[in-house]
Amino acid sequence: MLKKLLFILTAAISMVLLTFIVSSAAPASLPATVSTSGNIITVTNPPSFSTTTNKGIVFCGYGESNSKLYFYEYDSATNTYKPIYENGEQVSLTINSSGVFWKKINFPSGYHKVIVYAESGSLVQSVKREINVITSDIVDRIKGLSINVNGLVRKGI
Amino acid sequence: MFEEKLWSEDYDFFSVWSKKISSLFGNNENTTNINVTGALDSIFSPRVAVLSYTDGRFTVNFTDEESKTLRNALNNVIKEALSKNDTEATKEQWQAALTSKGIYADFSVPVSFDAMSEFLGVKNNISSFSYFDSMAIVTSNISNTSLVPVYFCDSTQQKYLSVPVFLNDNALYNILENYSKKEKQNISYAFEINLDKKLDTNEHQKILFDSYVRINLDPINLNVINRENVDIYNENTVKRIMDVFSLEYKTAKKYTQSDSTTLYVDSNCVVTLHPDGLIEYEATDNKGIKISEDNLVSSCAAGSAKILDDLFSCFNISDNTRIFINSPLNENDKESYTFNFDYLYNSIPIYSEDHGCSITVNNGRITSLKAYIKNFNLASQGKESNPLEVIDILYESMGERNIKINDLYFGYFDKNGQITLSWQAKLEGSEDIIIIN
Repeated sequence: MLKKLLFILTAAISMVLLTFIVSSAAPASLPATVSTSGNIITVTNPPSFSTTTNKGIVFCGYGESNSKLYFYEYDSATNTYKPIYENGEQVSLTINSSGVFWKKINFPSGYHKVIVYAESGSLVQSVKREINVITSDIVDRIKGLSINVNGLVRKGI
Repeated sequence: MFEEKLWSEDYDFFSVWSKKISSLFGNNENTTNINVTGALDSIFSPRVAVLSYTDGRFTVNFTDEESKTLRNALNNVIKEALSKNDTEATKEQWQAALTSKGIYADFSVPVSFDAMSEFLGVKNNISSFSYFDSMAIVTSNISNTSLVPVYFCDSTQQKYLSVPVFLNDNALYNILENYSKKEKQNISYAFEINLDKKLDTNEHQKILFDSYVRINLDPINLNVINRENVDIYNENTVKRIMDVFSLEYKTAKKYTQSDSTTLYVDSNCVVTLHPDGLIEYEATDNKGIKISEDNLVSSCAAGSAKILDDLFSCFNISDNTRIFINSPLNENDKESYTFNFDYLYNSIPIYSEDHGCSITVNNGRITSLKAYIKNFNLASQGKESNPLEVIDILYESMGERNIKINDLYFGYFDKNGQITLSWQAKLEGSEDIIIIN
């Protein structure tokens, strides 16, 4: 009887501990339709959608002290958001007393959907950002476009 | 029309000024003490330039030989700009210039266009406003036949102007190419990442930044330095110091106080040597040391720098110890100027409760001078400092109240010979500089 009680108690404690550990760690991935409501952080940069020639994107803003942030990028193959890694570790940071945070992350050219995932105690918040990194020669080509208005008029357009 | 170069690529404005100042002091070609401290280089020079590329930024501190070519190229651009007609620019255009591929030069003190034009030997045609403290050159499409926009900013008045300047040689282009190969830094202006915008009813926003605070996004490695005492009472050194002030060592009256402070007095001046390395000069009856014929701020500042070079050359000061002018150069034809100079170690400023050197010029003559002769050396390398942690410390030290940071920069603080690595912050609503160790 005593052994049974001890076993049940140990199992219960383990469950509690496991729940605690799971809720403190970053999710392995995020669903494509993650909720974006919450009030843990405000991301001042980048804006919701941006196009840039700079591959280094500075994520910054303000948030609740002691909250933890993790960064994810959309993976179309799995239709989920996967953690962004840097030097073998998932990119993350903790917001300290001043509430200010910033983190520069490099992206290759192309379109990127990013989530900044914030955890504060039992509260979570996801902030979505879409970033289009283009090369400077594309910008030059756009700048080099010209339209021959006279030509258009002559052709009766 | 643009085939003939106006000046050679190696035209050095500061060599020209060195010779002008030397001739005033009667040294001419045999001058050996020009620019020992870097003080003359700092006159009408930016304190720092930030070169922006697509893969990062690079900061140039204008204290080494390589940066001289950049400074000369910038002076050539300014010289061209001063002769053109300017138009008022908007804050948005100024900010676009800072975020474009190009050069931002921070003079740190107000400089008048008139004084700058006098220094460069051209007529000033700029009319939008009288002073500037920073400038930007957009080089996105630079080539050797480019018309580039040049912007000037008066940050205290929040005014901006632009001038189109034609670059007719490769100097600036080549310099930018050379610097582009160096390791870049992750630096953002606060306005680029929206840390300067007040968010309505945001409980988490406790810190606001001035739009133009340059934020180091990565930790910085700073060397630890120490300060060593100079031997101010060595007889040969004393004789050389007296020569700088044209005081006859053999006939001057000498008074020594109980703490070893020694005064040398003649009919023209009093020179006081303090055991902590402070040298003081006071002219009697406003006689003073003549350094300028025209009493313009440019020649008075340059003459003051020359005297400091002469004084420092009496001592064995390390190559990494330099001084820079830390006074506005924005008023001409004043009866009296006071020029302050502060120390640099390896391009990083060293602050203390008093300025490193302070010189008063009346009617073209130095009538008083205070110079703390200091020598700094490397103690150990690579102590890491994280700007985010610095901001946290600043916030906590200010009682965790909402603050706006107008400036944030790292340096050293010299408190009675004890040198600490520190950041300095200026907050809105206060003239005080907050030291964060």
